[in-house]
Amino acid sequence: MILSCDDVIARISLLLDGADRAETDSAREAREEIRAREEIEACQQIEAHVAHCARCRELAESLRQIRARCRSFRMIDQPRPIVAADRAKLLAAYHRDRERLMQREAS
Amino acid sequence: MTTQDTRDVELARALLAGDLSAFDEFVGTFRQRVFQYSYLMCGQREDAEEVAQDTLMKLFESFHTLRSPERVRPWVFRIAKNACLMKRRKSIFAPEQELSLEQYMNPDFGDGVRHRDIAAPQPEPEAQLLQRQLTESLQQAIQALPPSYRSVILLRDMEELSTEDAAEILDVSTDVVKQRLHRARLALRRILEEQPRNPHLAGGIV
Repeated sequence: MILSCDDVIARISLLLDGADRAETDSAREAREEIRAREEIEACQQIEAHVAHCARCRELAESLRQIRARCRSFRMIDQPRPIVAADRAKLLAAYHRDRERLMQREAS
Repeated sequence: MTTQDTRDVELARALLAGDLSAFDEFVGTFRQRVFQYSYLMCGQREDAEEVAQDTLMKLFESFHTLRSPERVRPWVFRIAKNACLMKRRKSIFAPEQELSLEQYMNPDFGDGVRHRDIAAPQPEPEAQLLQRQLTESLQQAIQALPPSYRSVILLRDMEELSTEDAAEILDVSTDVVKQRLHRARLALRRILEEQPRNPHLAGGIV
């Protein structure tokens, strides 16, 4: 989790310049890069812990299973089939939008 | 990118190019998904049906402003999130006040009323009902979460949007999304553990 002094020194001015609008994007990129590296490191540390801890391994596995269930979840209740009037309204909105676009492009 | 993501992008691209053959599939796909999201957020079928229609209307009214077809799903769910908020404000079913995760996790608020009821298992053959019970138990668990945590689970773990997209949709930072997602998963696990004794219903947690 701890960056080396060289890593921090190489980027510290970008972080300090974060308040400067002209530097905001690069400062944000630098912060994101540092955060990403911290997360990778934290992940490695967690993996190492989980490999030796049955309780945390069980927790990680159960959370993985819950996420898998969420990903494949489809509600039993489904929307009623769309009625013709609602479909027509959507289609009309789509056509109006396209017409506006074409008028704009033509002018 | 999943197969469904790829298909969503293809449909959006086709509609942007004026190809009407993609219209019904696009409507069918997103109507179902927005319905599911808004049903789980609003808790009422009628509200969810209206949110799905309102979302698609808003989408088609400015469809050409979708600059990148790859962004179609975050765009749809941003509109859906706002439509849900509007619906919840107006709905007669909306709670008078939002509760914290801790309050949601504590079913008895001291008034003797159990606020997070979990349905008892059906007295029907387990083999026939297992899939249905799995789905229902997860749905109940998700609906037991406070809305701010529920929305993160729906966008990240159900719709599989990125942390950045979820943060943009919900108008919060990526750190907040990560924190809420973590807490919501732990809360879901706890709720599922408390559900009836069928080991399959606890996501493998016995």
